[in-house]
Amino acid sequence: MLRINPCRAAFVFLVLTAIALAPCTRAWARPAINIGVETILASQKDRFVDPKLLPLKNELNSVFRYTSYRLINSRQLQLNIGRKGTVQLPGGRVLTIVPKNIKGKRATLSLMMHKKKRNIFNTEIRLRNHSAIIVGGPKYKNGNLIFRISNSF
Amino acid sequence: MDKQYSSCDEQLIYRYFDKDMDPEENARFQNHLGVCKTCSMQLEHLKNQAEALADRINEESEKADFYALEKKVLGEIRRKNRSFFNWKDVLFKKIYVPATVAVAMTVLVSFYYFYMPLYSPPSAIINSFTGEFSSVMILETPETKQTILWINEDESFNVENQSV
Repeated sequence: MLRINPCRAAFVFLVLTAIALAPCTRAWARPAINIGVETILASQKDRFVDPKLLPLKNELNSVFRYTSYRLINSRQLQLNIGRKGTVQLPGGRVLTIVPKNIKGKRATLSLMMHKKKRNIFNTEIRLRNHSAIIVGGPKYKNGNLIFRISNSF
Repeated sequence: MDKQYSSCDEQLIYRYFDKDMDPEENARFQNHLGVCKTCSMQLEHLKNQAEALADRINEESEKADFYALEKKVLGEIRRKNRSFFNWKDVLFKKIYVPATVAVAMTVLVSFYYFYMPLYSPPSAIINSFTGEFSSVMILETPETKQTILWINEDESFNVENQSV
């Protein structure tokens, strides 16, 4: 008859449980999300594409009719769930980002853009991992501002 | 010979022999047998035939081994049943079912690997959107399905912009 050592059995059980629950630790902990904010000035006054924006050129041209894309600013944030991050934007605008949660392959982000005390927009999005959302439209100098907000977790 | 009541009727002899007569009819036929030699001889002949047949059947029955015969018949039935179900059972369980499962799995895996990648979900799903703007457009880049929010700010923002 097979004899089972209770201590060894308990140890094996604990190890197996730890292995099984390991993927869940991310959910239990408050993970950090890497968020990138690129500020681009798009205009039709000249012909120029910032070298750093070359990978995006085709994507932008497929939707917009601008002839010039200039990278004004690029910020990287690492935010835990529930922590607020702010990015100063041209024209006195401020972008506030708050990660809400991560479910599956998407992170829920709260994005607020305001100018002085006025709220330009307030949105909640579910952004896929390693992808981006493009927010554009605000007028600046002789063009429009385009904000590319990306995330990874 | 005058026929009395339906006398010398062969059918009556058979019925009498089979005891298939009511008492009155039986008594009447017995009276007829007392006076009719032909019917008596036919009845006697019938009785002799029946006895000879019974003796022959008994003789053969004693010779036959019914137990062995029963066993042989049942064995034959079982053999036929076994052979009938066996090949169909094998065909169904060992060929049809696994083949169906394999085809279904192949279809599912092919769908997952070949069709699903063709469908790419948008980069961002917008749960809510509010603000002070004159209009907003939601677009998507054709290749990478990146979500685009295009906001036309309220004119009052532009006035403040100029002052800044």
